[in-house]
Amino acid sequence: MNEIEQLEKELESLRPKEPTADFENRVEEALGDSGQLAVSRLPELEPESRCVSAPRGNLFSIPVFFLLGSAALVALIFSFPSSPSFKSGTDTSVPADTIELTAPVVAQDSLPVADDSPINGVSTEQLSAMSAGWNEPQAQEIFLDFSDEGIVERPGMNPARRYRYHFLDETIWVNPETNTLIRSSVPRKETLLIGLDPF
Amino acid sequence: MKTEPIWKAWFAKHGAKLLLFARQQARYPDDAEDLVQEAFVRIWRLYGHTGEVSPTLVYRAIRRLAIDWARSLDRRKVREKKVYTESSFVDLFDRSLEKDERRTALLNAVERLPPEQKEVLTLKIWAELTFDEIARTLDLSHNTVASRYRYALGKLKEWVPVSLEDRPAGKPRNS
Repeated sequence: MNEIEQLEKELESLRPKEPTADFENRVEEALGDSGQLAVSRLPELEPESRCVSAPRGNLFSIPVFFLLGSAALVALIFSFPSSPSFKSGTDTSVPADTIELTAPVVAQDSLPVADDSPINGVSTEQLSAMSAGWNEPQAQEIFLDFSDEGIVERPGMNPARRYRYHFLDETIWVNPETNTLIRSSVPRKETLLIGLDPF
Repeated sequence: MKTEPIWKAWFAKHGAKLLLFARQQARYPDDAEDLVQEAFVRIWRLYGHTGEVSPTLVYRAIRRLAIDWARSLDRRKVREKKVYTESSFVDLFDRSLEKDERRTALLNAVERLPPEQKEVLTLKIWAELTFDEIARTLDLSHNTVASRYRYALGKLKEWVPVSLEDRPAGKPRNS
């Protein structure tokens, strides 16, 4: 190692002073929302965060989605009476448990009832009976990708940089007793504008 | 689940080097932190979503802002409200190093360098930029940057003799 290389090594070994905590706090305040952007949106940092969404989890945890799941079944059932094979009752390919489920819905007492049922023509008792055996629904927010759409002009305001995020909101209902699974996937977009200070 | 913004890790890695460069670029020492803050925030807002920002962009922004602020009347008003503090180049490094006579002599020698050589040396040694990156940051040619770096090291070699061994400052040399 010659003298110049030795000198470079010596200089490199000297460490500049670190910024103070106060200064970092100032930077954090100045960054505002843009300081949080990279953390919350980068999948490789927190892979599990893609599958967890607290606010949506709370929404899906209420029994309404049991009822909605049941409503989907009811809608399916209403389409059956027009089927000749079902009317005749000779179609042995339909599983017995499915027929049992349809029975209360097509009965005469399935007219609109005056209770708090969210589905017209189906009482809350009937819905509760149909909801039996279903686990708590699992809601996931799946991050797909994001795109930088560049700088956009805003009338009367500073220009902003626009990012568009794509998510898939997935809800899964599982009934282990009947080994049934219902999956709902709804695509969602979010647009984020970050105001820019022109140089 | 605890998360931390990516900028914090980035700033922990580059913040001290940015401040060192900003202190050289700022007309007044107290402007250095403001320069780093302003430059970093502007660049991070533009490119921070990618999770990795090239430090060269921030160094370049610091330099341009320093030039702008030196001309700005508004900044003069801000400066007048602050208490002006003079600091030497040695003060910008860890204080424990001051006890080492040779290292202190080295830093004092760096301070004596002409500003154009000092900024190149700082970007090469402490910011760890390549000559190409330094050239882009300072708007100079690759050759100019490389020659300034060589001149700077040559002067340091001349001013800080090798015979000045590492030992606590103030301790008499053994004969």
